[in-house]
Amino acid sequence: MATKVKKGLWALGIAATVAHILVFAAIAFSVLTIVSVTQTMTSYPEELFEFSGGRTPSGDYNGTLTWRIRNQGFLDIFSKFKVRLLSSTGDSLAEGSDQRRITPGTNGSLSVTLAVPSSSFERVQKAELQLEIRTFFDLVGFSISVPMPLSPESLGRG
Amino acid sequence: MKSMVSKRKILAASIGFIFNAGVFVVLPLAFLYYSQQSSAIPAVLTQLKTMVGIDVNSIAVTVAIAGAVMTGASLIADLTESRSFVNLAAKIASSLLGLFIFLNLIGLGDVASMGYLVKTISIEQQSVGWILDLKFFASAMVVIVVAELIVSLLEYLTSKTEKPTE
Repeated sequence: MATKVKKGLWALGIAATVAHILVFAAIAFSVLTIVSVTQTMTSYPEELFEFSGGRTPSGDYNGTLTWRIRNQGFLDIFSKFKVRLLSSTGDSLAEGSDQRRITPGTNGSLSVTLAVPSSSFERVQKAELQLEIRTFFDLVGFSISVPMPLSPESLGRG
Repeated sequence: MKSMVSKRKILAASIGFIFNAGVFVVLPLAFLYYSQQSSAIPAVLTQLKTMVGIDVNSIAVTVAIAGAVMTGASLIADLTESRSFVNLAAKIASSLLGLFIFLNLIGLGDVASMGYLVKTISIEQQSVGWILDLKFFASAMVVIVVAELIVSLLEYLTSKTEKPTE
C-alpha cells in the first residue's frame, strides 16, 4: 500500500516537472510571437496605418483607418482594432472595431470605418486607437491604447 | 548499497545545485555586471525605468537573492531524508521561492500583478497605455506549485508512517 502511494506521489512529482517545462515552453512561444509582431509594427511604422476619408456632399464625415499587421511569430494571433473619435470632454462621437485571426508567416489588415454626422463633426477633437494581439489559444495578450489629438487640418476643416 | 544510494543522492543534489545556481544566481548577476560594463545598456535601462517604470536591475537583484535562497533550500531538500521536517520545510521554501521568481519575471518586477501588467508610457506629452496579459501562465504556475506542495506534504506524511529501512 505504502509502495503504491509512493509510486503515485513520484508520478505526481514527474507530472509537476513536465507541467513546469510545458509552461516555460508555452511562455517562450507566446512572448516571442508577441515580441515579433510588435517589432514588425515598430520596424515599418510608415506601413502600419492607412487612412482614407473626408466630408461627404451632405457634410457628414466618413473615414476608414486600416491597421496592417504581420505575424512573423510561431503561433496564430487574434488581433482586434478599435477606434473612437472623442470630443474635448471625452464623449465618444463615433466608434468602430474590427478583428481577425492571422496565421504565422502571413499578413493581415483590420479596417475600421467611422461615420460622423455633420452635427457632431465640429466637436471631434481627438481619436483613441486600441490595438490588441492575443495568442496561445487567445489566453495571452498584449494591448496598447494610443490617444491621438486631431488637428482641424487632419479632419479637413482647416 | 547504502553508500551507492547516498552517492546518487549527492550527485543528483549537485546537478540540481549547479543548475539552480547557474540559472537563478549567476545569470542575473552576470546580467547586472554586463549591464554596468556596457556603454549602451545603462541608457536603455534608464529609459525603461523612467518611461515605463520597469527597473530591470532591481528585477535581476531580486531574482539573484531569491534564487540564492531557493538554491540553498533545494540543496537541503535533496540531501535530507523525506521523513525529516527540515526536508519538508526546504521543499516548501524552494517551491514558493520558485513561484515568487516566476511571478517577478512575468510581472516585470511587479509580483502582485499576477501576470496582468498595466503600464503607461509618456510619449510626446501623450499617455500611451499598454497591458501585458500573462495571467493564464501565472494561474497555471500557482496550480502547479500548490500541487507540488501537496505532493511534498503527502511524501512527508507517508515517510513518517514508514519504518526506517536503512
